[in-house]
Amino acid sequence: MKTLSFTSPLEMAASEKSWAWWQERKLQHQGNFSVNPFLKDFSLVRRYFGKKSIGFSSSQEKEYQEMAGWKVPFALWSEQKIARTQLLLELSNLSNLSHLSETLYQETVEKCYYYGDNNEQIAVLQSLFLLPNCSRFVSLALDTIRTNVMTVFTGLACENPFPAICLDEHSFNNVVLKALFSEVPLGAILGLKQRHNGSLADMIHDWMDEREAARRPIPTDIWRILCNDKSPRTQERIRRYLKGEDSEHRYGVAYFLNETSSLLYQTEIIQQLEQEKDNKIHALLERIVEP
Amino acid sequence: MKIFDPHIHMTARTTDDYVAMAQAGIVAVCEPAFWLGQPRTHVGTYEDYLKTIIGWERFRASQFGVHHFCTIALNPREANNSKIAQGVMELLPLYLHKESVLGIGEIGFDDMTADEEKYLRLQLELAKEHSLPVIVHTPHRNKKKGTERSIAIMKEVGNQEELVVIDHNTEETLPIVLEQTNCWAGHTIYPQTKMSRNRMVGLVQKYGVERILINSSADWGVSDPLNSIKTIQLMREASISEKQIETLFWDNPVQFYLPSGNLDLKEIQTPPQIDQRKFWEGNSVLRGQTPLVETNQEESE
Repeated sequence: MKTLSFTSPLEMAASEKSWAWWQERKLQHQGNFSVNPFLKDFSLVRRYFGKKSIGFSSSQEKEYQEMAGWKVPFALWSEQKIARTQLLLELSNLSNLSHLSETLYQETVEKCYYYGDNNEQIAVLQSLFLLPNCSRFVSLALDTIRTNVMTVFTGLACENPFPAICLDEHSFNNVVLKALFSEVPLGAILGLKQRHNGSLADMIHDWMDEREAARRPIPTDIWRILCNDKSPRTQERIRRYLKGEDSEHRYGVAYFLNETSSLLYQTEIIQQLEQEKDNKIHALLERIVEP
Repeated sequence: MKIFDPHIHMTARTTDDYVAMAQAGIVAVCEPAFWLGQPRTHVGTYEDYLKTIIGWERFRASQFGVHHFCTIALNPREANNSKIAQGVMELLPLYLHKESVLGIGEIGFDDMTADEEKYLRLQLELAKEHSLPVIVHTPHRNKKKGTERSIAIMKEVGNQEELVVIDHNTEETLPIVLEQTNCWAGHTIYPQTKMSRNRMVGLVQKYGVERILINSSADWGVSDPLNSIKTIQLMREASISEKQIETLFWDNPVQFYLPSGNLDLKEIQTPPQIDQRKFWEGNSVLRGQTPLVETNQEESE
């Protein structure tokens, strides 16, 4: 990963007063670092930078995504979030230059989260993957998995590669389950396909059993996960929903099967094609059997 | 009309209360830090309480369409608890700059002890240092003396009086606040103690609306989070104008808290989006193909 810096877009976004503050506090931290003034500045960012998105062009965003190695929607990040990310990036640079010890660096990032309000915690969580050796911050993510504040949880779970990069299987699965449970879109979880595992599919099936028994709705993007799985339990369920009464689920199954190259369900799909009345689903099914 | 309750302890209230408040037009609330009905025995529990009013309670309120803000402080009762008082004072600067913190409060006298005075003074100094609004609680017993003493200390510390509310006034203390200071005068409508709705109508008829704040302060005791609304009804019956009512229940609280720098006037004009997840619906299969979370935050911030 090349060294990533948001300094120039921040300068573009900042007023003269904000930029003067930004420069001044940078010199202070470089000269004589201590934790509490850094935490204060991490909060005070909101006084100097706006809540509106930084407004990258698509080519700028792409450039940042290439440097970051992940398709993170930086163009939608607020000026405040970008500024806080840059503060943490600078903190890691200070650590590289031995202005502060590794321990103090880690402690400072953790304190930004620990003392942070909801938006500050989100900024920390979404910045983590850009920091060197980011797996040292796993404990913050584990804390977030237990939060009830959904905006903070989605800060970890959605459009953030940190869970896929750093969490073990059990914790990653917990992120996915909680997202599912809270009606968070699964498509926003990065690395879902790469981190697919049999336990996750099992957990999803148990949850679906429960929902079916209670006759409660099941999100139709659940097939985003199950269509990556080939266990007998998954095959049974896909076959059942493929010809089920719920057209949204039939669409979900067809949509995500079409994204895989699985040939497991050819017979059922051909049978379903004969009776499928919904044109959109029909078209998807046709594409699967005759690619 | 929109209502801003400038002093209400929502952590003690139920979700039904939030629903009723939002329906009645309460768009924003400020929750001052106070005690929990029994004394805390650790600084850590106090810190978690501060985290709660800054974090979880703000989110909880947003789920019901209410903007939640807070003020943080060592409250008068627990100022007497030497085991935690100093530790809480050390925590305050770490949370003072958070997005939803509108100032320092509630501080002041309860039993009029030396410790209460010490921490009242220290926190007035903290408010002065950061130019923040501050809520000064006045005692239930010995209210007049407590109010006079609080004002005297505030004048010694030299706080900008427009940033101070002397709270929980009665017929005896209101004229003191209005005549001797430029502070705001707060009134807490309680079913049985403090100030009643009818008496409040009388005070507004006598003293007008300038520098007057009214709150329901509802907490874990016998209290009613809709007291502000019920007082408005009585005011209408007493022919107090809509303009004056709006000044009392919206303009004044907004004007009082505005110097905190944390009130976004445009943002509080409308209630927060009730269920943020609704942005993710629409295309139930494809949801999440675009980075919806962030869009969602931008909309709600």
